[in-house]
Formats: sequence, C-alpha cells, structure tokens
Amino acid sequence: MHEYSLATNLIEILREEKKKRNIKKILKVELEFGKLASAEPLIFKEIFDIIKKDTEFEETELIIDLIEPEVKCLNCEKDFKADTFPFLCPYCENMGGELLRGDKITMKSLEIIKD
Amino acid sequence: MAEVIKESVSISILKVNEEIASELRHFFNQRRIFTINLISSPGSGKTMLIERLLDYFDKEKVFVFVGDIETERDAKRIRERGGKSCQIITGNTCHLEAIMIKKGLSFLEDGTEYLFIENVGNLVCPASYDLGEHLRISMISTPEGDDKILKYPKAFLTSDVLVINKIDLLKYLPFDIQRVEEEAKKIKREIKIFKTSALTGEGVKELADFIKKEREGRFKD
Repeated sequence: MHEYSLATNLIEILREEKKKRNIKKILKVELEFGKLASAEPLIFKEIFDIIKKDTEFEETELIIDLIEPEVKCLNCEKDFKADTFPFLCPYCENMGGELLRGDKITMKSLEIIKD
Repeated sequence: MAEVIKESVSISILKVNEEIASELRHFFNQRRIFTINLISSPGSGKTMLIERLLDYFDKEKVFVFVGDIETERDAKRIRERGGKSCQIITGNTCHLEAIMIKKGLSFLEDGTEYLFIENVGNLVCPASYDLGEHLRISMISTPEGDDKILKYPKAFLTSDVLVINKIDLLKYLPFDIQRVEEEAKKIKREIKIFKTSALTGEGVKELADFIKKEREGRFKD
C-alpha cells in the first residue's frame, strides 16, 4: 500500500531528469514493473495520473511493462521464470532460488522534446 | 516542429532510498554500529521482544528506533525498561524509509554498538525498503496463524532471520510450527529460525547470542 509514496518518487525523478537533460516536455515515461515489487501497477498508475495534474507532467503518459520475475536455481543453476512463491525449479524441482529480477520498478525510457 | 526523442534510462524508482541506505550502511560500518531491521505485523510482539533482548545486552551500547504511524508509546516502553530510544512517527507512511533513519542518526550516542530498528507493523511494504541494516529479521507470532509465510513471502525472502514469537501459546492454538519452518525454508533455504516467547523469555537469549555473534563476524579486527 505504498503506491502513493512510489508515485511521488516518480514525479521527483522526472523533475530531476528534466533539469539534467534539458528537456522541454516529457511526453511518455516507460516503467518496467516487476510482478514481485510489492506494489499494484493499476493503483500506481491511477495515483500517478491524479498527482501529475498538479505538476509540470500533467500531459506525461505513463506506460507500464509488467516484468515476469526470473529466478536462478540454487541446485542446478539454471534460470527460470516464476511469478508465484515458493520458487520451484522446473528443471530439477528444487525449491527456493535466488531472485534475479522482477522485484523492482525501474524507469526504462523517456519520450521527450528537448529545449 | 520540435523533434520527439526517445531516450533509454535505467533508474530505480527507489533510487533515493537506495542511495540513502548505502550512505547509512557506510555510516554504521565506520562507527561499528550493528544495525537490525525488525519487521512484523502489528501486535506480534516487536517491542516486547526488544525489551527482552535488552536484558542480554549492555543497555548503554544499544539504541532503539521505533517506527509507528502515531504515538510515542513504544519508545517510552523501551525507556521505561532502561533502554535508549527514539520514536519515528511516520504520519501516513506504512513503513520506514532510509531518510527517516538518517534524520534519527543525530540521536545516536558515541559508544553505540547496536541499533535496533523496529519497523512499522506491516508485513508488506517494509520488505521493499533497505534501511542500511546489517541484519533483517521478520517475525510472526502464533496467534496470527501458521499460514503467513507464503502469504507475505517477500518479507521472508529478504530476511536473514525468521522469529516465531509467542510460542508459550502453542498449547492453546492450532498452530503447526513445522509447517511454518518448512515454508520459510522453501522461500529461503538459508533463513535462520528462532522460536521465542518475549513474554516468558524463552528462546530470547539464543537470539541475542546470535545477534552478538553476527556483529563480531561483521566487525572483525
């Protein structure tokens, strides 16, 4: 339930990037949204669309790409996709594993007009 | 007509928290302050566990940060027990963030060897926020039920230690402790498990000894 705080972070990052890269306008922002990021993408988008109205990013469109978590098996060391717990290796059926990606929210690209 | 450009970036949305957490870790390492982040649901006994743990430490060398949405009740409890503490009131925030810990650093005294951070009662959001800690402990208590590990997996996946608290109530509850241990190991094979009763004190010394040993291992001369 910390989508509000995350959406505020996104606005802050956009502000910083706009300044740093001499951006006139940010048209689109694309996020990779891990399914295990402990946040709900739809709620996140709704909150972002509400709070952006009071900022210079009122017209910035948010694109969310959902990322399937990837896990490394600690037994056979193969990588596999997993979107539920516990992680079960499809190759050797070992339980557990190291999460490689899919637990983070990362800004991947910006569509911009420069100054 | 202005040109539209697409630029690739790679910025974590938790960038600010991650940067501050790494500053904090540096601060703790330099001063040899071993830091523990304690996560659990409200009411599973975090404050009482810390109160009990204090009995096994030199209270002069321990500091406790307590996170809550409102009130200074928990910090007061720690002080009444002879410990040093500082309340972090988060207002609307359901977890502690690294910036809140940074603001509390000025309260730490010279000679502090252990910092316990009692997170806001919540098994979800605190799991995503690095506070620069050395050891993360997630706790469940027996009245919560034995099915919680797989319901809130990220807390346990990101933790070094699982504490099962209120084991004095096992005789009254349909709580399958073996199920909890098995499921925790399925989430994270190397997780250490301690069974405690903060009320009677059972198992608390073992946890205290483990924390001391972890500090020794971390800050070898």
